[in-house]
Amino acid sequence: MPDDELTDALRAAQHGDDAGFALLWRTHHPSVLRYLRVVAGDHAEDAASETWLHVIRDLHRFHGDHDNFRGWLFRIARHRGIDEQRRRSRTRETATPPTRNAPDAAAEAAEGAATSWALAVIADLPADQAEAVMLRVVIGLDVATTAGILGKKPGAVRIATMRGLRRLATHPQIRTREGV
Amino acid sequence: MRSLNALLRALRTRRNKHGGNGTIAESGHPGLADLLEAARAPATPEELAGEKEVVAAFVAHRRRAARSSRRHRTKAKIRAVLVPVTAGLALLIFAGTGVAARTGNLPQEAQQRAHRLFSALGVPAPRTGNPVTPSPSPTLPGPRPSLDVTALTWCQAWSGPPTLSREDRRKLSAAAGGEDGIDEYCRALHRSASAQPPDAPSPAPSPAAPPSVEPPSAEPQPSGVPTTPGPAATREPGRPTQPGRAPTAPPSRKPPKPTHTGKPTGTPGEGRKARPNAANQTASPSVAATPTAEAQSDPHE
Repeated sequence: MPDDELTDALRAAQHGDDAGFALLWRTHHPSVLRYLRVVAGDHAEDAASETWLHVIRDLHRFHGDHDNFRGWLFRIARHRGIDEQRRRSRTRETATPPTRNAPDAAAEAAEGAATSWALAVIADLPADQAEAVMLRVVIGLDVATTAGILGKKPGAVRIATMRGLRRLATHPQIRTREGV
Repeated sequence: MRSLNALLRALRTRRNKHGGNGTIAESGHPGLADLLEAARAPATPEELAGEKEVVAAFVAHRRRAARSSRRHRTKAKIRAVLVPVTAGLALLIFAGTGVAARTGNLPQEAQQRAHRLFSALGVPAPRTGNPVTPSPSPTLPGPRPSLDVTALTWCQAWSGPPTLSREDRRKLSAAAGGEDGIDEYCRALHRSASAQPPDAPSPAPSPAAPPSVEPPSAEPQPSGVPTTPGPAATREPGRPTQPGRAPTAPPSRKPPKPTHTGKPTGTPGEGRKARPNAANQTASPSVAATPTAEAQSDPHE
């Protein structure tokens, strides 16, 4: 999807055009949802809904092009995900198991299942590395935007990304896949 | 980016071991490449299932925002009209009241209050022609006589031996408009002070008048009650005061009455008829100095 087209859609949505907003949503919602699966786990759906409601509410106040919009969107998503996670862990202390058991890759052939597996594996990383890998490598944001979203310096983002990828490479399930 | 390159270099060294080819991560680490590929996979239908709801929420929010903004705009319009009108009206009322107070056109009570509050701004007291309000008279003419009296004493001190203090002398010359004008000023003051008694029954002449009239009344008194020095006592005996007035009263009075009551005093005083007059007299401090008032009150009986 060319950026110009998405910038036009953004402008249209800001002026109340629901088609433009729908295009933005279709383009970004899968990424937001996957990122939130890493950040908020099982509450990703709720956090994503909250994120888009926030976007709807504040869209007329947003200034910038589509790249800025992506950064804005994921910053909102991150905050909503963290809020959601915090709220759930306060109401149910045992809700968040320390280690997520990733589904067996070999057993799940469907494409959606593979995505879920991949996300689960990434979510197993330390939080900062998992977020950095998601935003930088999977979603493809640049270092500056990612640093802005995570509230870190660009150098720290680079290091977190590198360490995350290295750790993923040594993940047992990936190593078994390597052999396949 | 540099750290990623470092990572990729590290990955490349492993890739060489495996002898793979193609792009970096994927070729260097198929497992990792698969993982990232799976994470980046195109959206599944489930992920895009909620589009309708989100777009509906978007439309609803836009409608609500439009409505509230419209309401906001009409409210702002009303305010834009109402505020200047109210302010202008308030200003008009305020300014009108101010002008009326300044020119003394307010109703008596309001003018009096305005004068008390804003006399420094030149708000005049209500016109004293109206007899209804007794209050203006003490405020306006009050200070003037006192000034005259003090100035009069200054003048006396000025004309006599040098007993006038420097402070008083300064005040006097200020009042006269200069040291040279003092004589002229004092002369004028004396003239006005001596001219005052005849035209007004003010308290000033009363102290001077009684001595001239009272003595005659004291002489016939011995026959009556002895304790009658004050005006309160004059009420009781009735007669003793009347003799005092006797020299002045007769011209206005009818003669028959004295024959009826006057037994010890040889004066043509009036017995019972005198009482109401006595009451009249006690009301005013200057007993004997108001013959005209008495003459007026008598015919009523």
